[in-house]
Amino acid sequence: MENSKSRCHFSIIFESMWQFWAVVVFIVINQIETLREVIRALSESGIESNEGLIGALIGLGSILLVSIIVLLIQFLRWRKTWITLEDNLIIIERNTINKKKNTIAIENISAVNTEQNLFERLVGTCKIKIDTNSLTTANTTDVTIVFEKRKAESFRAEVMERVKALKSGEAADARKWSVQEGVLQTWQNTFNSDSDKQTEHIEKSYNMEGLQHRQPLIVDNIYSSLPEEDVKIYQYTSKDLLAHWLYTMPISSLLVLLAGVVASILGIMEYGLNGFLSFIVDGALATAILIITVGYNMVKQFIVYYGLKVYRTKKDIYLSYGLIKKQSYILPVDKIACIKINQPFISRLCKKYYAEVHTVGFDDKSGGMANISLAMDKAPMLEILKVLVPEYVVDEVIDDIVKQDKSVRIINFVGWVMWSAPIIACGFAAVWLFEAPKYIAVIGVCVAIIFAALLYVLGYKTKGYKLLDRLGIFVDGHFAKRYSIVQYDNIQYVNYRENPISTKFAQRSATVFLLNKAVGMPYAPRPVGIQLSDRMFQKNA
Amino acid sequence: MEREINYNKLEKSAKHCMRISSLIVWTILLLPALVVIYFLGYMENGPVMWIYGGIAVFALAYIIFVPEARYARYRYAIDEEAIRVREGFLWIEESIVPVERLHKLSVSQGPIDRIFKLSKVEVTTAGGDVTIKFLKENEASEVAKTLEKKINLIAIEQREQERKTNREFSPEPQFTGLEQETNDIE
Repeated sequence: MENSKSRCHFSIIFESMWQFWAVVVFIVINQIETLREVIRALSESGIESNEGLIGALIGLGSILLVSIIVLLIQFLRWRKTWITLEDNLIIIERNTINKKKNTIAIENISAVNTEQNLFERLVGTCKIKIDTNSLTTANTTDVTIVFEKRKAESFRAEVMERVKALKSGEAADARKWSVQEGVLQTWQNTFNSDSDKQTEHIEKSYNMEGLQHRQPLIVDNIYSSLPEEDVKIYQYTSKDLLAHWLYTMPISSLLVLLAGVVASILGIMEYGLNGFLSFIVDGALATAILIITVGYNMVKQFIVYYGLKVYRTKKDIYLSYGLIKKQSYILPVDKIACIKINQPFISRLCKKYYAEVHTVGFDDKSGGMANISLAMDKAPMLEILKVLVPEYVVDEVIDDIVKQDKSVRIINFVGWVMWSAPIIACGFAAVWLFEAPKYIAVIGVCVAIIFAALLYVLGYKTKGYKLLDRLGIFVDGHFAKRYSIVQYDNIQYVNYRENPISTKFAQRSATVFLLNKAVGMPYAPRPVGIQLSDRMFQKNA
Repeated sequence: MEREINYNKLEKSAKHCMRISSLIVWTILLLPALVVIYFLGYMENGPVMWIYGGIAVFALAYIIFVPEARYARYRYAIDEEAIRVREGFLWIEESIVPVERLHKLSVSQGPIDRIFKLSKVEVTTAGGDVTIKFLKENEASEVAKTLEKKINLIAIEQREQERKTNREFSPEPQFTGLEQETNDIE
C-alpha cells in the first residue's frame, strides 16, 4: 500500500481558535462606531488632541496585534504539522515550539468517525476523529484531523481498509454478528422499556462495519434464542437472592440500622412508646430520608439481581436479571478483563463468596462489572465458575494464597505512624487554635488512629497473591475480601512501587493495569515481581 | 533468577532540565504567595514570614538536591520484550510495558526541553501511558524509530497469523456446477 503525507486543510487555522475569533468579532462589532471615528480622525485632522480616541486606537491596535500573533502561531502550527499514513501506522508530526510526534498503530484503531460542523459545511471540509482502544483516552478523541471533504472521505476509507486488512481475523467475527443482525433488530422492535439505550448499543456494535471489538449487546429475551447445544443454565431463586442480600449487605447500612434499633429501644425506655412516636413524627422528614436511603441500599441488590440467570456458550456468557428494569446481556469471553470473587464483610464472616466478571465495554454505569453468581459456599461457586469461565478457574484457584512477608508489618507500622502524625497535629490545632474541648480532641484523635491501625492490621491479614502458569490471583481488602483473577495475556502494563522502608526489606507493591481497570498487587519480594513480568511476556517469547 | 537488564542512564543535561522545571514550579507557587502576604499586610508578621521563609528554604533545598537524586535514580531500558522505566526520589516506581501491547507512541518536546535539546517519549497501551522523560533529541527519535519498527513488525506478524488462522478455518471455495459452466463459457 502507498504511504501518503499531507497537511490539514488551512481552514483549521481559524477553526481551532474559533472562540478567540468569535470574541474578536464581537468586540469589533461593538466598537464599530469608535473604529469609524478613529478612521475619520486619522484621515482628517489627526487624533493628537483627542485622548479618548488615542485610548481606543491603542485598544484596537492591541486587539489587532494579538490577533496577528494568534494567527501567526496557528499558521505555523498548521504549516509545521504533517500527517503521514504508513502501512501499519498513522504519524502526526508537529514541529513548533512544542514539538510532538504521535505514532498510532493502525491495528489498535477502534473507530474512525467523520464530523462536520456549520463552519466546516460552509468551507467544505470535514473532521476525522480517530480513536484507539486506550483506557487513558477513553473519554477523548485520540486524533482529530481536518481535510477537504472528498480527501477526508478517501482518507477514512483508506484507514478503514488498512484496519480491515490487519483485522481480517476479526472480520470473521463481525460476519457472525451481521448474521444475527436481523434477529437483533426484531428484539429491538419488541423491546419496550429502555429502547433508546438498546438502540445506542446496537448502533455502537455495527457502525464500525465490523471493525470495532464486539461490544456486549442488550437483547430482549436471550432464552428465546437458546442454542441447540447442551448448555447449563444457572437460574437463581428468590431464596438464593434473599441469602445473597443478607450476606452482601453493606456494613455501613447495617451499622445505621443497628444504631436505629438501639436508639429506638433507648427512646422507648426514656419517653415511653407514645412520647417516642411523637418525637419520630416531629422529625418526620429526616426519618423518612434516613429510612429510604438505608432501605434502598439494603434492597438494591435484591431489586437489581432479581431473577438472575446465567449460561455460557462457546464464546459468550449470557446474563439476564432485574425486577423493575429487566436487563439482558451477552458478554464476549475474550473481552473479559478479570474475574472477581468477592466476600463482603458479612460473607467473610459466614464463609460465602460471589463472583463478578469485568468486561470491556459492559454497561459503564456499573463500572463494567456484572454478577455471574450469588453469595454461596466456596465449592459450589467454583463449580459454577468452572462451567461459566473455565479460562479463569482451576482447582483451588483461591486456596493457598501467599500471604505478605512479616517484614510488611514494619512497613505498615511506618505507614501508620505517617498517617497518625497529621491526625495528631490536627488534634493539637483543634485545641490550641479553635479552643475545642480537650477530651473531644483526644477521643477524636484516638478513634481516628485506632481505626487507621485496624485498617492496616486487617489489610495485612487479608492481602496476598498467587501466580499460576496462566493466571495471577491478587487478594485485596480490609473488612471485605476480593480475589482478582487475571490472565497474564490481559495485562497491559505493571507499575511497581517501593518506598524507603520497603526497599530495605526488598519488598514492592504494584498496580496491574488491565484493559478497563487496574488491580492492586500487595507487597511481595522483588523476585515475585520479576516472575509476574516474565509471565506477562510469555506470549511474546 | 534475576535477569540482566541493560538500563540506560540519562544525559547530564537532564539534571539541569529537572532543576529549571522545579525552579519554575516553586516560583509559580511562592511568588504569588508573597504578593498575597504583602497585600494582606503580613510582611511584618513574624510567624507568617517564618513559615514563608521555611517553605522558601525547603524549596531551595528541593531545587538543589532533588533533581540530583532523581537523576541518579532514573533508568530506562528497551529490549525485544518490554519498555522499562525506573524513577522517583524517595518513592521509587518502575513501569514495565510489554512492547506487544503498544497502541500509540508520542514524542514531544516542551520549551524547557528544547533549551537542553531533550525530548520525552510517551508510550500508550490499552491500560494507560508510560513516559520516558529527558531523553536526548536524537536518542528519543532513535527510540521512537525502534518502537515504530517493532509496532510494524508486530502488525505484520499479526496479519500473517490471522491469515494462517483464516486459511485453517475457511477451506478452499468449492465450485458449483453452475459456476464451472459459466467459467467454461467465458
